[in-house]
This record gives sequence, structure tokens and C-alpha cells, in this order.
Amino acid sequence: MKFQNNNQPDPKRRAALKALGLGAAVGAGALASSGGTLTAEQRQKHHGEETFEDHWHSFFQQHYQRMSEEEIEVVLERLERKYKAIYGVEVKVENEQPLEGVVFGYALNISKCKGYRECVKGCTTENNQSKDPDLEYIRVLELEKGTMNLETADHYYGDGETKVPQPGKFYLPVQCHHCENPPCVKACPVKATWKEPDGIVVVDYNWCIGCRMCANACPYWARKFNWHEPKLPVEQVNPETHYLGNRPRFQGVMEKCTFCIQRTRNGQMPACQEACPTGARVFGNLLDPDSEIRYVLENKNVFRLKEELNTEPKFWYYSD
Amino acid sequence: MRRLFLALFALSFGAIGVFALDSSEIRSDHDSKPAAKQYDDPREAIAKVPAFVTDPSTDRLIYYPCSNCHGEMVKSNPKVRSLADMHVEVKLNHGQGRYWCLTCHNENDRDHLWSLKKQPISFNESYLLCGQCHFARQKDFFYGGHGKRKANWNGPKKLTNCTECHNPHNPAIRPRVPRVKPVARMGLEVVPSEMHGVHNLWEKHPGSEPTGKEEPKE
Repeated sequence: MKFQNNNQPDPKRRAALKALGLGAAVGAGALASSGGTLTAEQRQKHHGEETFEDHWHSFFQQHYQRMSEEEIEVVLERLERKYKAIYGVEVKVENEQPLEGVVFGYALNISKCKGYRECVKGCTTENNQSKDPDLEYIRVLELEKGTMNLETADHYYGDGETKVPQPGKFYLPVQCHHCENPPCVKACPVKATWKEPDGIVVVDYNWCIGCRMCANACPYWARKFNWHEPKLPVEQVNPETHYLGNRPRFQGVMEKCTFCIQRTRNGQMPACQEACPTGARVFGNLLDPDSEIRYVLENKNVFRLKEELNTEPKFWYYSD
Repeated sequence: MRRLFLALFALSFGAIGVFALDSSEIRSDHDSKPAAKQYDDPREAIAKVPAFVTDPSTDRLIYYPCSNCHGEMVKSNPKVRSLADMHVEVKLNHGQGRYWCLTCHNENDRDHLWSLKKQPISFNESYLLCGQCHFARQKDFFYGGHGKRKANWNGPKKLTNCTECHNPHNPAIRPRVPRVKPVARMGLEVVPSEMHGVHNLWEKHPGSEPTGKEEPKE
């Protein structure tokens, strides 16, 4: 077979697959929706009562960037059906496009961060992560003042009684830095992760093959892998989701911070910024000269983590 | 005589040095650009900054409006004393004893605060009052380097007022217990941070490690 290096799907092949899928669906009608009395746990385990046709189309779903708008619409509808079947609540999956003239940037004031871990809580409430096993996008590191040795940084500080900030310590929350030159994107063998025009590095969870190369490449430990089938209690589902953002994930796919793409593309602040009780987090548009983030970058002493790796993070730390 | 002249000469230079610095401007050390400015009228501070709003503070004040009691019922007592009957919850721990209630609270109109130059300031605009001393923070607050923007990153700007986070009578933020710590990934265990970097793989297997002791030679 001749190797073709175009990004267009072969229409003949796709039509054939579609017809095959429809035919098979009619034949397997008895297979679909046979139960009806499954418990919440069983539903999550079996991906809800998915029809054979839906299952088929989900298996042969195209890459996000190769789909036309109509195709994406169909996918979003199918995903909403699926999440409704799994969680029993109406989950809205959106496909909000990047805003014109916007590149997102983040700054974090390490003199103000007190290590309360409220951002971690805000993030897990918003982003539909697995709650058992726990999956968190933000790591808050406790470091000795005057040092920057990440190897001796303590991620697991706090015993339920000790108050923070501890004297002589400072706190450094680390999450996805949304690099301009992201090593994770280069590492992905199937191009399931890429940088959006507004600077957000996203993952197409349906295209990810779970090889975890991106997690190896990321110097900021920002990528989290679903080793197990994620358990997300129904009452903790956030129904406002984005295809590239916080829609519920499945076992064997990589996920990460998306700057709360479902919120920020609608003009809202990311959940971690909203949850921060100290005002240490500054978020905004890097291309807007009047934005808060630009004020911080121009007037404060800022640094980036592991700058020498030339990843060009769009996440700055500052102190004042 | 010559010494006296020299001393006078030096003194006059010193005096020029003192008066050369405009007292209303605070300059940073290494360049002559004004880092911040103290204003005669606190309202000048917001004249040129980007427009913003804050949530009204008066909704959250328990005793507001203060003129319910202060005014006809309770006459003002400007004497510095410890409060025994009312407002006992207020423990003034701000400015190391430089202030008294009436430094910030308006003696003649208790529903307002007042500036150091006795201009009335609303409770909803406490950032104007705080900025009289904390002018560098105030500038950061207006432009986004201090404090927190609410709700959106784009469009109308709503900031968090100073008094929503800081208790004005006791402004330092106290330490508290953090949220629950993360769990180690299934099948792994947490190594205490003091062990990081000093943990050597070969120490796990004492048998494979060279003992460092040599056999005594005969």
C-alpha cells in the first residue's frame, strides 16, 4: 500500500466503515439496551448501556483536529449520551473554540502562597478527575527557604494538625506550565496531544493510546495517567465540560491541567485561581498589554521553573 | 575659623539634599523614577488606574449603619482606652500601637471612615484608606499584582476589597491546617523528603554492598 502523508481521511474507507457499523448495529439490536437495572458502579464499569452502534463509532472515531464541525457535533452528542448512561446526569460536552487574539498565561506569587492546598481542591472539584484512586493536577511542594532543590521538596507535607506555612518553608505549586515549546507534544507518537492557538496544551482522550511517553518527557510532572478505571461519584460530576477539557475520562488515557479550558474560553477564571484564598494566582491574556498578567511580568521579579530546558513555559512564579 | 566655614558649607549642602527630595514621592534606591506617590486626597489614587468595582462591604458589617448607636445615643469619647462594654472582639494589632479607633473611623460621621487628612471614605472603599500607608501594595492591587480578581479575566473587572481577606484591626493572615495531602499512587509508598537524594539503591541489598573492611593480612 502506498504511504500517503496527507491529513485527510480516506472518504471511501470511512463511508464503508460507517455502513458496516450501521449494518452491524441492526444485527446486534438485541445486544443493545438489554439491561436496565444496573447499579451506578456497574454502569461505570460497563460504560453505561452503550448501543453497539455507538460503541462502533466511538472505536473508529477520528482525531479531533481531522474531524469536520459536523462530525464533531455527532461525537459530542454521542459522548453526552454515553455520560448520561454512565452517570445518570445530563453532562454537557462543549467545543468552544479558542478566542481570537488570546494567549493564556499564568503567574503565581510564591510570597503569598501559604500551602493551604485550596487550589488542589478547587481543581478536583471542577475537572471530573478520578476520586479513587485520587488524581490531582496540582502538586504543592514544600521547600526550605533559600533553596530550590526540587529533589528534596516535600509533596506530602501536612499531617492533619500541623499548620502551614511552617516557619522557614515556602510553597511552590506545580501544574502544567503550558509550554510554548512543549516536550510532551514532541514525545507523543500518535499526535494525541497538541498546543491550541490560545496556548493551551490539550489531549484528545479518545485518540490517546496510553503509552505514557508524554509523562516521561514532561519535566514538570504535569501529566497524570489513569492506571485504573476512574471512579467518579455521581454527585461529584461537573456537568459543564469541554471535549478537550474536563469531560470524564476512561482507563488507560493521559490527562492534565487544561487551564480549565471549559471556563477560560468562556471568560471565566480557572478553578484554581478562584479557589486560592490568598490571591497568589494571576491569570490572564498575555497579548493584552493592560492585563494583570502583563503587569506582573513587567513589574515583578519573575522566574520560570527549569528555564534552562528551553520549554518556554507560560507559567511564571514571582515574589514581592 | 576655616573649620567653622567648612562645617557651615557642609551643613548647607546637607540642607539642599534634604529639600531636593519631594516629600510626596517615594523613590526607589537605584533609579530616580518615583516608585509610588502619596496623595493629598486618597481619591487621587484611583483617578488613573483601570476601572474596577468591588463587592460592597457594608452588607457584611454586623453593626452597620454605625449611626444607629453612635451619634445621639453614644457620645464620642476620644480618650484612648481599652474597650470593655462594646466591640470587645476588636483586638487592635495593627501599626504597633500607633493608631486608635479614630485614626480611621470618622468621629463626626460614624457611617464613614476618614483619611489621615480627615476626608470621608466609605466602608466600601477601604482600599483608599489602606493605601495611605500601603501605597506600593495599593498600586499592585489596582493593577493586579496583589489581591484577587473575581469571576472573569476579561471584561468588567471586579476586585476583592482589602477587608475581605485582611481583618483591618488585625491584618496578618494566620497559619492554618492545609487540605488533605495526596496519596501515593497505588503500589508505591511515600519516601520522607529528608530521604530524597540520600537514598542509595545499593543500600537496599547489604549483601551486594562492599563491606569496606579488608581482611586482616598476616
